[in-house]
Amino acid sequence: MSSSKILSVLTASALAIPTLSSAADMPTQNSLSYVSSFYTDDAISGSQSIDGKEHDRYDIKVNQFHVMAPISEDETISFDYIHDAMSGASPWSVAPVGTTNKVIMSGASIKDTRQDTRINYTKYERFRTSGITFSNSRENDYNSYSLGGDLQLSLSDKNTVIGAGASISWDTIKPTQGIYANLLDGITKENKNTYSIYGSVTQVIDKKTLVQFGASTSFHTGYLSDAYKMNDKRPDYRFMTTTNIKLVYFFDQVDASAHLEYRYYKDSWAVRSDTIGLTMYKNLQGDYQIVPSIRYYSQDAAKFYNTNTTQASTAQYYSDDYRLTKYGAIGTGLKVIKRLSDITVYGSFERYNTNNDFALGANSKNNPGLVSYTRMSIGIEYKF
Amino acid sequence: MTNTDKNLHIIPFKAMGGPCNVHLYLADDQLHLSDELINEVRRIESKYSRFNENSVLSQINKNSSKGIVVDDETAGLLNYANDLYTLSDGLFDISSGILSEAWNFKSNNLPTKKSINEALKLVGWGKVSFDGNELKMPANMRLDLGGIGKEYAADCVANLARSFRIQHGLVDLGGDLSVIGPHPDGTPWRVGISNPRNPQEAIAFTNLHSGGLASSGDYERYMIINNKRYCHILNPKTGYPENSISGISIIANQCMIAGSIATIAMLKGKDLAIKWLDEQGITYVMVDKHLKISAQKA
Repeated sequence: MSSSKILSVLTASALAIPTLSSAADMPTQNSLSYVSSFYTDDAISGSQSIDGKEHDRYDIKVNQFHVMAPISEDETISFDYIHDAMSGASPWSVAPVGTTNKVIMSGASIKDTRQDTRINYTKYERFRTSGITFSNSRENDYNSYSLGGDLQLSLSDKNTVIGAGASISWDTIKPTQGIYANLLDGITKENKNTYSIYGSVTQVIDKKTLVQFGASTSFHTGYLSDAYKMNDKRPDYRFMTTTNIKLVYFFDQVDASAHLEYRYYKDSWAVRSDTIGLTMYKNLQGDYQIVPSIRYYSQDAAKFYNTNTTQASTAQYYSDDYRLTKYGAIGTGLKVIKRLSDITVYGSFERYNTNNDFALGANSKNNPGLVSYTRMSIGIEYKF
Repeated sequence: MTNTDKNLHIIPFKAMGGPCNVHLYLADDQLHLSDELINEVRRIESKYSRFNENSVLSQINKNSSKGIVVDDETAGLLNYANDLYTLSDGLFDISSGILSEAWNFKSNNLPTKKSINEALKLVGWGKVSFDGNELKMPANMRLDLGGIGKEYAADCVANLARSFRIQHGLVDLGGDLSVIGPHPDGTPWRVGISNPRNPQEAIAFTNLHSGGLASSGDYERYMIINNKRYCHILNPKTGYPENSISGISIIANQCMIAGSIATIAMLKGKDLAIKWLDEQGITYVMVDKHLKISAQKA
């Protein structure tokens, strides 16, 4: 099918008439949703820990509320509240024992809660949707405020959507001095600021195909080390860039769509990663939808990643944080959604396995602290 | 309020020279909204009627030889008509209404060549100057939104209904349809395509989930002379109708666009219209003068 010039010109022209131009894409109903999730890290086995004992890691219970309401013909306000209750332990350091690295755990169980509140205002206009979001995230030892704005412009035929956004956040860290206080960095209060921008272009190719390109950069400055790790001193800035491409294709014979995405990430610490993911949305009889997904992730280590404490002590920057090592991961998930007239319910299961050997290319870095996890969620949404 | 609490209400009324209906799934406390929707049809009808001396259209026709500044809604419609004129190479022309005065379909007599030529002198959107705000046209020229007005009204009503948070419904203004939204269970509206030789009877059915459907045909106003049918859709270049298509229905994302395309297709004639509609990927059902059906699903 050739592109229809007449339809796109006439559509643009028709929608420019004031009476036909009201925000058709705007949500017209109030919505209320609740999601409960349970997230659990796999334990550190006796063979991975320095004391030869098995150690539990984090368990997190997440309660998430969302409410969205149109406040006029072309404006909505939404409010989110997330409450995380976490307990467990995390790796404090890595030390070589003979030829292998072993994890030293933080010992006593850490208990913390995180409360995240977020308020968003969005205005829907003929070819433009713009929003502003303010959020606050609060833990015992952490407080973050952020402010962001975003804009989406539909080109006249609505087959092309350009998106852009920017945000800034101000974080304060006040480490709680636990039993290892004397070994910790000794900091009492530090700040971190983050500045981010992104842009995207979404193009409808035809009725079945959509492609999206996106790019973002963010700049972190301030205290970027992990106050709860023994060997951790990082640069006070980090410049991160991400580019991604996503292809969505609808298979009408089987009433399913496939979302294939590739993401490339690189930062000034020399961490770079590739992510490729495939998610299928398959509609079934009785208003069920199943969403299986698979994702592969591979990361290179930060340039100052080092598990050798003797070398580390003389270096300007060093960290043995498992998140900065070279590793790979495979994530799989399944979500089942059931739509009733005004209510949507779903359950989801996700398993994420990490391994140094999953990384692309030969890997000499080995960190026994890598975390694999399982996450389960149930959610309900009511529109009225 | 759940969708199951909403019942389908079909409200008939007369407007724009024919029978109209709005099909709405409404909760009890929304029943009054149907009046506002019908009022919207009346508003557009009185604003753009040729027969109402005080209508905006009549004011334009009376005063625009000196230049007249039009309101935003009218400017939007004129701008749309301007795009339509350009895209159709002059086949769709809102100044061509005067031709139907040369043709008197009740007389059963063909107009004389001379009367058609006289009328053609007053036809031609190209002679009109419109800068998006001010309109100026030669004296005695007249505009007529006959080709798009009813379809535009259907879209306006559907849009207004959505702004009232009515999500499921269909607007039918004399057979020109604009969907507010599908049935509450998500199923599309099933609509009939008129048989041009018996417009009350359906010759085909189609499903309409969103957007609009508009039809044009040789059965609305016509006369048959020497076994040849002359209908009211007149070519603004020749002053005569085409007679190879009996009826055509177009599905598009707006009823107004569907109606415009249906008129252009009628004027192009069967073979050129099929080629053009296929090239543009437009969904249509066409019935030719031998009642043979052609269709394309985009």
